[in-house]
Amino acid sequence: MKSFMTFVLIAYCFVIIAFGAWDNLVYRDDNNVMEISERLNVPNTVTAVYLQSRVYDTLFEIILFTMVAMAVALMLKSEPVHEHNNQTIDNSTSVYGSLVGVLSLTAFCFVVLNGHLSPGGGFAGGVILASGISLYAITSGFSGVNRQYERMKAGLIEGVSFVIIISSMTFAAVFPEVFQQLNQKQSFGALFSGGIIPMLNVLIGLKVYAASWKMVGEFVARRGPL
Amino acid sequence: MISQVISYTSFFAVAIGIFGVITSRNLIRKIISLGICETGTTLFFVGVSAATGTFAPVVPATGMAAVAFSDPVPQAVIITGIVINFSILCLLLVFTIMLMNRYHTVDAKTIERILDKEE
Repeated sequence: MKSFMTFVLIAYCFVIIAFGAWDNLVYRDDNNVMEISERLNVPNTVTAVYLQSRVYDTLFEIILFTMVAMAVALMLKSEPVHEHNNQTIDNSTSVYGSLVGVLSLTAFCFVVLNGHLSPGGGFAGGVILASGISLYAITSGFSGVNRQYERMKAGLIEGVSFVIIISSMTFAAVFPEVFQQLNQKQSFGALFSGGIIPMLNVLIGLKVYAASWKMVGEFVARRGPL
Repeated sequence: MISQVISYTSFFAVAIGIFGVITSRNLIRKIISLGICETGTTLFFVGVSAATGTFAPVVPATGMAAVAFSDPVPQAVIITGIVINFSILCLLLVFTIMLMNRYHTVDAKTIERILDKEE
């Protein structure tokens, strides 16, 4: 009965919102895709907006992501670690898992480097790589992947890319004309026509991969009675 | 038209998410409902972006036909929203793990009862 009352109340509120919005939602008929694309000389306008026009937004987003990764690691430090030595590994599944891992690495390189030419970008690339590596870890053992993570010094890479991202994004937010002039020197649609956008995409991709893999690793290590 | 359909579907998704957050007792279910609610928010921005057209806002390098591109600005704004949703879900899962290790249950009512007894 109580849940039914809640349902009625919420449905009532949202019906009011929806019918109130029916006349008031104003949709514009024009947009500024061509203008943005011509001014910044970048085909993918979404990437152009979030890495050049609204770069301050992305800057604080990166800071927030780093803080969350640190907070997850810190808060879970006091919780007991579950020993997962008894993971069952099937050999044929392991082979296919590593194949998917390599394919996801290739997709990461393409999506990140062509982020300003085709749909994609740093966040999408990082998530692709992290899910491919997670699949590899599920099929071939988490301890091996964690050892690989330590050996690649992914934490160090993450920190260095964070510093470079912060400094270059602050520079881009303060002096936007410098990078726009940098873009105009290249021909439209070339790989280096993005100025610092491909570099930022690669760094953001590595950072998102390292942070999300760290979080997944923490969650898996403390998964409790599963 | 498609933009309005997407927008009203997103209202529906947010309503379902809030209903789940309020009525379910299981903490994991609450978190999943919050995820549905956040996805509804993302969908609303997609609907606003589709108002001017439904083509991806990527200008082809070879010539330019008159195409109804979707608006790139809401799509660029909602990337921030997606990352914040992800962060909130991660932190809530961490708190759930801590509660689970302490009280050995994910039922909100049971945890409240145990807390009342402790006082």
